[in-house]
Amino acid sequence: MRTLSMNGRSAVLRQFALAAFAHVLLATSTYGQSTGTLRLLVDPGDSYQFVLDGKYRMQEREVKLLEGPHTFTFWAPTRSMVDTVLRVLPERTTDVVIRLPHSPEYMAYTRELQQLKKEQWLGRVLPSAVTLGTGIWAVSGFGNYKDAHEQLEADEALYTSSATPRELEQLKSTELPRHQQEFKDARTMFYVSGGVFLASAAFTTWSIIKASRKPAPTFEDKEKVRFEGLVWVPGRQGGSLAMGLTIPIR
Amino acid sequence: MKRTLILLLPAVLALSGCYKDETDVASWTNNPFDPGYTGPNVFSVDTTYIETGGVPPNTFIRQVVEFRVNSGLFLAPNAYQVRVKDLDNGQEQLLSQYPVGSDLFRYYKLDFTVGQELCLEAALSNELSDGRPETICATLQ
Repeated sequence: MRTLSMNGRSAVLRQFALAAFAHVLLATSTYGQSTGTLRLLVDPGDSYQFVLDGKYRMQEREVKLLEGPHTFTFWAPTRSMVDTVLRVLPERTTDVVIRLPHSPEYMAYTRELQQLKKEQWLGRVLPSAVTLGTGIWAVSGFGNYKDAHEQLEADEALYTSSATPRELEQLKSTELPRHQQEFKDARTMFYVSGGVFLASAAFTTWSIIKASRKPAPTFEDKEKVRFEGLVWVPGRQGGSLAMGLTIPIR
Repeated sequence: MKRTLILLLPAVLALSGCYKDETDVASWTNNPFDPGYTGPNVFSVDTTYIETGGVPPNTFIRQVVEFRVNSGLFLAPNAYQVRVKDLDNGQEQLLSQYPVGSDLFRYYKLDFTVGQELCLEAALSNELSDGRPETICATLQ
């Protein structure tokens, strides 16, 4: 019983001493420390967040902290996380300039998107422009064809109405053969331009259908998933637990 | 887009078929003013006779050949003259209608011979150019 009493007392004393030592240690570690301010100048400036000392997720432009080193993990949508240690100087405001690089996933997504846009341009805009051009060519060709035919009709009307033998002879020997040749040329050109236009329209249709069937790339922000691990978000009501969820939106 | 193409194809074909007919120049031979006219004769002799002209005592006699132009062959109403070449003496004259507005013409010949056939080469004429010449003949009885 006595032994037990001695043991219990020593245990209590040991615990008390340990608690007193921890209290003194904590007190000495905080007592006498002053605070400093970090003014964060982060690119991008509107959407970045950071986790302070691995615990608190914040979205502030200025933080007032105890002097000494503090770990920061910065992140913004489409950007990579940046871990850094910032030393807070007492009674001073320090500007910190940080540029968050784009994440590899976002770079890959951007490249895929650009590739898709390029393919869509090649598959839609370019053939459509070519079709438009060939269409204009075909319409122009038809206009020339029509004009040439109307010229032949005018020649025929002139043959019918004219009473001047020299004019009739010149019409038949010179002008009409020339107009007929122009008519044949115009008709050939119209057939060629119409054929090219039809081929171009068919190719454009096929190309647009093909381009529309290709799925658009999606961006999955893996950095966000990493960043939005369970962290404590301080707030006026005491804060909350936050966790991330990424839904790819096309 | 497919529907547009389906609509375009017949439209283009229809347009291309609109003017497929070519003008056949060879068939352009039905205008009597055309030197290459191949239709029916334009000129026909009505009559020939002798008339006395001048004022007494200075009178003369001459042969008159009246001939007619078939204006019904004209493709459109036109004013015209007729160039006549006397195949007997080679003289040419440009004649107008007599009476005016009709299709009748009169050719006068002073050095005529009764009973001898007189042939004329007649052609429609306008602006100093002539159509297809035709030969008409008449014999003074």
